[in-house]
Amino acid sequence: MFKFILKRLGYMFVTLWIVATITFMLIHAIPGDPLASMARKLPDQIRANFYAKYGLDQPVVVQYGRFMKNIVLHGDLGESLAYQGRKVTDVIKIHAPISARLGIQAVAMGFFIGVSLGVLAAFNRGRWPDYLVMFIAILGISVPSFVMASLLQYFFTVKNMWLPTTGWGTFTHTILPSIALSFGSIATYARYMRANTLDVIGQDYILTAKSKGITKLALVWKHVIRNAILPAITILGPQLAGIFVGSFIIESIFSIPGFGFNFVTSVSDRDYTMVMGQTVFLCALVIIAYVLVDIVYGLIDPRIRLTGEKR
Amino acid sequence: MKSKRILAALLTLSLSASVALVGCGKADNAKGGATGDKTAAGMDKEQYLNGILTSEPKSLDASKATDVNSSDVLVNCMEGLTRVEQGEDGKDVIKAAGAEKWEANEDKTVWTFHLRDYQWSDGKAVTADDFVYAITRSLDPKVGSTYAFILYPLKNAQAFNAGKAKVEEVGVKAVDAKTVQFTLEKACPYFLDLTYFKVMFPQRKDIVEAQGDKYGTEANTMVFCGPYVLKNWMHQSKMELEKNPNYWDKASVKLEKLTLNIIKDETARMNSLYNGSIDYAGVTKQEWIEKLKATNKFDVIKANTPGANYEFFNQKDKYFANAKIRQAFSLATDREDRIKILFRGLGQPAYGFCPPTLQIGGEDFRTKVGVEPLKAFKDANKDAKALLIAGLKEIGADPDPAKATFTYLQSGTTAREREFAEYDQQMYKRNLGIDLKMEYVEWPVFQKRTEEMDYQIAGMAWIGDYNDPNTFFDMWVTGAGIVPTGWSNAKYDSLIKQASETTDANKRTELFKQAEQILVVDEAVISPSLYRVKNTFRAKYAKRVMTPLFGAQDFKYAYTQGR
Repeated sequence: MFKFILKRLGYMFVTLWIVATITFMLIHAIPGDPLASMARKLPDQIRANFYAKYGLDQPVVVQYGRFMKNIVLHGDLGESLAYQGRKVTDVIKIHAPISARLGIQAVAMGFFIGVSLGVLAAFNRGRWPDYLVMFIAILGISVPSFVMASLLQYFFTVKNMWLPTTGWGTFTHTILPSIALSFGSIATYARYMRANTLDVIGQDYILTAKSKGITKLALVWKHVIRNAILPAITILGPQLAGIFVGSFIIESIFSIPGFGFNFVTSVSDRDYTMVMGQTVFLCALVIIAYVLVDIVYGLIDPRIRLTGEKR
Repeated sequence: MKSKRILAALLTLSLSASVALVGCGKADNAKGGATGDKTAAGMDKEQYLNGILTSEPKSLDASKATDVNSSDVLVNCMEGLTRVEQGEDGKDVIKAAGAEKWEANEDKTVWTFHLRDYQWSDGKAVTADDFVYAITRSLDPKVGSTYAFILYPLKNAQAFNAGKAKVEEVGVKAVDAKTVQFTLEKACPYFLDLTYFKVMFPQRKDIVEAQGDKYGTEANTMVFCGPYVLKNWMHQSKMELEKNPNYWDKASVKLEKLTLNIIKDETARMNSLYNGSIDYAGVTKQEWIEKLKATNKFDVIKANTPGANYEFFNQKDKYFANAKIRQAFSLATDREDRIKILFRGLGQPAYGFCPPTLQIGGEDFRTKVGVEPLKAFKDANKDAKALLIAGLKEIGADPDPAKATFTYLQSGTTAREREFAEYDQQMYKRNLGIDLKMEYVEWPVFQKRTEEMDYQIAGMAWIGDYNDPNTFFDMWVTGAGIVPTGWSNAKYDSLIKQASETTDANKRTELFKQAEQILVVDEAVISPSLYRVKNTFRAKYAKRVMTPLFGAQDFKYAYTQGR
């Protein structure tokens, strides 16, 4: 197990380095520069001053070297070009937890509600709970999250002023955005669980367990869920990593100071350092998430051997 | 039924799990305060206002702040030499602020400002050195301030900014602790209008140096000397300001608390305005204008802003090198109808370039000039198509407009650009008989393409920097490098130069009038389309919120009544 984690961490660093390099090359290949986000043309002198300050007038190779050195030696992802004086790591520290909280709430809601609905649908196959759950699932998948968000905002904050319209700070601020974000997840988990539960219910060992006289609840908990949940765990991993970026539109609609929003605006601002730093950060998260998923797999299903040895 | 029980158990489990996970959160206090007493006769007992910023201020370091939102905050928590306010008639008026009085020498090249006694929020007095430090810092090439050019009228300022002069040579001195003296390169007729700019706000050397790059990124990295102090800055979310107890004019400040919410999404802003979570906002969409009007809770303030939209032409292009062709395009623009359809009436047709409300010598420039050059030209030349054909013949091209290739470079790729494109294509086809092609690129690419003269016709907007027509005219001088048209005209350059060498308002008006005639008619360097107008909906109970033309939203005297 330990060797496995070490190996994966090693792969992670290599992957991160490749991602950072590719991102660096891409962002410098796109036309435009950070000063372009200003809607006016600047006198040449001022432009030159700005470039000199951030080392943007150096050849690309030198800039790359500086960038890599800073990350490896100081853990410093650089300073934002658009928001002067703010370090990328500081920006991540402020905004990532907010997106994380929103994302975790949404994923948790999505997972638990979705799984429950899926199991419910499977056990009531062909009857009305099944159709209801499938209807909800289709709605969740086909209605974009921002449509849901706008509708929720209108209904709950304008038509009936039950919740705050925008902003962040209290629990009430998190309700609507979490619901909007989780809809897609609920739908996905419901469908996966339904399919897998149906599959599992039809297995022989379930019949054996039933004939041994075990209660329905114990049956579901001890046998059905443990076997059926594996695919749901598979998608849980990348979902956890994606909570930071996927919420960009929701964050925009509810004016939530999150990470996704920062990320997208820094690309249009051509804020090189921010884009680099955030990409590296996100990449690291995704990889860690996948590693965790693999570990959890092994815990749930002993058949999957991490080191790949034959039983 | 057993499955029903399982369902109940599962749902309870998932719901309680979700709630348990989400239930742990901090409980900050919510927006605004308790409902104030409504004393209809006087001001509300609790004075607070919920304002907005359209996006996160880039920095509160006055030397580095580049955007409107940072100005909006700075103007309310700092105090420069002067403050621009909106008089009862809505016009901009410069008032004494940090400086009690000032005088200029006879040829207006030396200005002396006498500071009043006022303090920073940490108790230290605001001194002349604070001003000198701030101004030289903004000019320092190492700081890379993008607004340094505002200070170029000062002696040696431009040279210092280019690294060709020493900081001691810059024309700003602290004569003593309470006197700041400026020496200009030459008499500048609008110098006073520069003194309320954020690059002229005082800065504390000790704090800036102690904080280093962090200065201006957080509330606790700064001290303030204006009507309010910034107490809390929740990045990308909101900024909370409170009345400054050390402010020299604190008797005039009525609001206890000012919250600026950062709401980027337009629909979210509209919803917030509608349900009262914010007290004012700019509104552009027709459906919202009607909806908000119907509530009867808002005052609608329609005001000119110092900006103009215009089309410009690449004069290195074989077609647009010809003045007749450029003129034809300008004549072919249906300005009134365009504003009605594309801007839902929120704009004023522009037959000149310098918008109304810009002042020269205290009078409105447009009123003083009296005439908008394009109007007379349009009356004399009713047939734009004929002019175009004449131009095509002159360059030896096929006189059939439909055979010429014209491409319009759009500065964006959203639905709005497409809407504009559709309208313009129809308009030019109807009036000129041409097939206008469209090219959509993102803003940074647009900038690059225009800089490289790789376009034929494109559109932009210009917003003036200070309250003098010069800010609309000196950008077209040879070598200004602001809008890449490839145009250079010695007569125009000379007119602008003469206008900068005298302070006589009548002489300058005449010079600018001639310059505008050349710019907009004779040479048709640009085809101005509209003067910008802003539509603000403000709750009826929010009073005395100032939005001077060249200032930012100023809450110094704001109060609420009848909330």
